[in-house]
Amino acid sequence: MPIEDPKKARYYQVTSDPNAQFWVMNLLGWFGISLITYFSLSLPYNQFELSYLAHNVLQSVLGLILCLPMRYIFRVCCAWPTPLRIVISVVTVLVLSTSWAAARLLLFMAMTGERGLWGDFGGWLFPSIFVFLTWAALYHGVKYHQLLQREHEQLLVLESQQRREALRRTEAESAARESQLQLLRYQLNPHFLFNTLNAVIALISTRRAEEAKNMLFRLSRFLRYSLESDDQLTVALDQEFEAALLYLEIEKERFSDRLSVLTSMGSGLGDIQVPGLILQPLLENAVKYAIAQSEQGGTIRITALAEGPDLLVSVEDSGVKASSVKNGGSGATNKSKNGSEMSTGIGLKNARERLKNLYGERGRVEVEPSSLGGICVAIRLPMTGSEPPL
Amino acid sequence: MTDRMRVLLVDDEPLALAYLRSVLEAEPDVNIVSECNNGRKALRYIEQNAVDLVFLDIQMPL
Repeated sequence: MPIEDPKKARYYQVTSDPNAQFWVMNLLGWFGISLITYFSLSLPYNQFELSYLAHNVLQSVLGLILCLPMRYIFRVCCAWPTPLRIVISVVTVLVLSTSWAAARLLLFMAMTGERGLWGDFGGWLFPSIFVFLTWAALYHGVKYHQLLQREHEQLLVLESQQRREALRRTEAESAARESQLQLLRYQLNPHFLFNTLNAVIALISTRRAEEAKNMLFRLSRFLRYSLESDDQLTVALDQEFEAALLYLEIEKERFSDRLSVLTSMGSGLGDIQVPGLILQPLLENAVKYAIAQSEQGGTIRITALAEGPDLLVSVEDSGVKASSVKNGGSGATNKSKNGSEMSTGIGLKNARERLKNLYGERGRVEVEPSSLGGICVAIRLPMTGSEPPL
Repeated sequence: MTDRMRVLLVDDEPLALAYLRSVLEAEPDVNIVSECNNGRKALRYIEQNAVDLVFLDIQMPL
């Protein structure tokens, strides 16, 4: 168990040192026995001469000394089987308590001059056995307590190690997820850049400077947004709508009157956080398959609305118009439908993965027929109003 | 001037047509006879008119 405060650490060292504990407890214990002897024998028997007091102190010192071999024996047999340890402990206690009783009786007679006390030996032996038994019991108790404490400390160390490991694992996992999200982020479609720049060249060659300027201005703002949103996990829905409009304005310029755009956003949804450029693959699909393949062009509608706790943002297109289908034959319809499904495959898979990574089961992509005539692709995510929980 | 090359431009993007026209108009040997914004119209034009060269976009609505 690491302890930061040095003062506390020193205290901890002293109190946790078993040897220091042993001596402190022994001195206190034998001092206590002297006190008990004084109050229970010296006081009632009025034995206040110096020799009695000296004997009292000496017998405690003697007891303390006799405890040292007992400690040694206990230490030697501490790992032996319990029955053997009990037998050895009892024998040791009996031998040492008998020795102590005899020694202090002899000392008593020698120091006080009283004689003929051997008949009282039983009376001297009984408390001796009791004292040594108590000592032995305390010794084993303290040892057991220390063992438990050590095990507890080891358990704590192990636990903190496991916790650190779990933390490291969590960190590694979130780093892996972060890099996965990075991979799934929208990569600017090089065709879009290529087409737009070609369109700008065409505008310049036909001396339509104002339109060329507007197109470059929108392209630059769109590129800036795609760079900025790259650093953030999510952006406000307002920004995402703005980027979608920039993109569609550029495409509108290319397809002139063939593309019309409708947007609608539920009130108060502008600050809801969404993954940056999550709509881009949906918009690209709508332009590529519903507008670019339809002679009359069509409509793209972007709608954001709250549905319970979820935010629903959908991109709808008007699909390929009936007249071109009629003239082109049924083969054309199938081709464009297959193409649409194929492209939604890649674009939607990416969006789906991103939503799942950020919001779990609550982030989804839903595809259904649109009332405009084409398909409606909607992203659904929980409205947190701030950063999504990672 | 009848020996100039008769050229047909076909592209669904007006800007692409405009660009092609601006480049080809600078060529003295080129005579841009018409522009079409889809393949169907281009086929019909070719059936009824003599054309030497067609600039054709590869991805267009039919």
